[in-house]
Amino acid sequence: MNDRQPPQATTEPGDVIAEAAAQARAELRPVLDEVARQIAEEGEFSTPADSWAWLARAGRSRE
Amino acid sequence: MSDVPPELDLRSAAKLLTAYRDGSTDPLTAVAESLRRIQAADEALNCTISVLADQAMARAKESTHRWQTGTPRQLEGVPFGIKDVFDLTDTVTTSGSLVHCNRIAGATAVTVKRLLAAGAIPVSKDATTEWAVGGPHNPLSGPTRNPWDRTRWSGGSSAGSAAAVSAGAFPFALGSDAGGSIRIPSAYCGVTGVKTTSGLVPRIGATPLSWTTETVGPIAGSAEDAAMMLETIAGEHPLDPQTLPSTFQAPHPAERLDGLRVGVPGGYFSEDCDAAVIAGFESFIALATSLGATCAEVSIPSAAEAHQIGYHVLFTEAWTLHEANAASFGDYDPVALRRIGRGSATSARDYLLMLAFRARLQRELEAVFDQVDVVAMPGTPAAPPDLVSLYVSINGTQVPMYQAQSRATMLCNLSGVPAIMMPSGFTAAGLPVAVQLIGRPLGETRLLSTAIAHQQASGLMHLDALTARADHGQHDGTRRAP
Repeated sequence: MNDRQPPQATTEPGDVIAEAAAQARAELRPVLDEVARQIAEEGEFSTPADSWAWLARAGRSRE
Repeated sequence: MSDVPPELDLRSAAKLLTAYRDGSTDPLTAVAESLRRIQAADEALNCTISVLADQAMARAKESTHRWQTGTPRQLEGVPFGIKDVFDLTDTVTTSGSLVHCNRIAGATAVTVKRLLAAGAIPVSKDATTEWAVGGPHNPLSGPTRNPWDRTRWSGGSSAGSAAAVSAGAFPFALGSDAGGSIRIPSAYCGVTGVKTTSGLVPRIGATPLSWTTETVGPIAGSAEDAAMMLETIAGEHPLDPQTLPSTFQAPHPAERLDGLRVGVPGGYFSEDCDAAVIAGFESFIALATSLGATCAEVSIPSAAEAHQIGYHVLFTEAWTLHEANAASFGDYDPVALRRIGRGSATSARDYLLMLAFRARLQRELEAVFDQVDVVAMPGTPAAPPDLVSLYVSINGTQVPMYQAQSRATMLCNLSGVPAIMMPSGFTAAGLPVAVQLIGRPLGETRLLSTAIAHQQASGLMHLDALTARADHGQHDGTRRAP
């Protein structure tokens, strides 16, 4: 089945990226503001590395 | 080469190994047949980037010799597919992109090496959406069509691998999953896919997309075969600092699920699902209960946010990797560019907030897995999307594919927990629908034993689109006979 086609660039890549970033910012802002509010209220001491350690620890202790 | 026995079953690795053992066929015969089937599947479905005919037959010759001399390895002579994001020395790895269409790999991915060392034989590099993040209409290779209905998409990003397994070209394939890329095509193609615990399977030699969310795992005709592949590829590797020692062992098939506690979250996961998907999910619950499992309601309140934040982590990390390719962006799939572009302006603060959310999500799931062993939910909310509109139909309403399909999958990638997607039934039109089970970290053995018991009781494994389509009066007569 010959579905192979050349790319159809209809918009400049820079415009596509800028538009996508703006859309993401608008969609994510309320969600991330709420995360920030919760952290400020409840505290958060985990670092990104702790999330990887959690996988190992949770796996070891539960299985 | 001997004649192909009429009963030669390439859908099951376990059956194939039995056939080698009892001498009813040999790897030369099976791999030749697998090559024939992958070429036929590619003609029909556009599922393959390249067919590895010469090297596959050379390996099949060695495998046949090993069976003849009593020295077979664990997966000796079993043909498999490789999503074309994994390197194989001296072979092109396109990652589904025009930018890499001539990139010859200088080394072999760790997982592929492990499969080769176990005697398995790669027969094809399988189609993927661009960089495992692009749209169905890939500028390099075009769309992969669904074996159950060629006007629909296979799902992605491990598009060709799921379609080829579904078409019976080989028992399993190696896929990758950063947001649902193993599980979504598995759901749409009626096969079984495993998103592994982050760190269980090394990623060295796979084209990177997202450090946090991406994992490697099997796509197979059954949970039993998926377990065979996973046992081979799992385990730490010195070059991948995030890998963990493997605790995974392929489970012994069990007929009962006595003592299994199944959590049912409902809410977000069951909302906006097609009635056929809900019916498939309910049939899974009913069967699990009849096999001895108990069900309890559980709550994952952050699920919707996990979907949004998980994708933003993925796109932010993907942008970090791809920004250096800016001069080639004109050759990118516009869908891939738009998706990756969403992460192009993420601040350091927002990235850290998202990772802090990840830690909170993990604690939320830890509380869930204090109560239950596995969590069950509808897999994708609808049957596969139409290839032209890219909409799915949910109870007669047309919904954009990207809005719907991964709502149950990304949660696992962001948190790192394992999941399995497997068939749970069919729509009235004969299209497969799926159920997803989620487990605690490194809980793959429990997930797969549950899936094996379900598949043995339900028969929902090694599904044959050809036969099923004939049963539904939709067979178009162009598929190969097994």
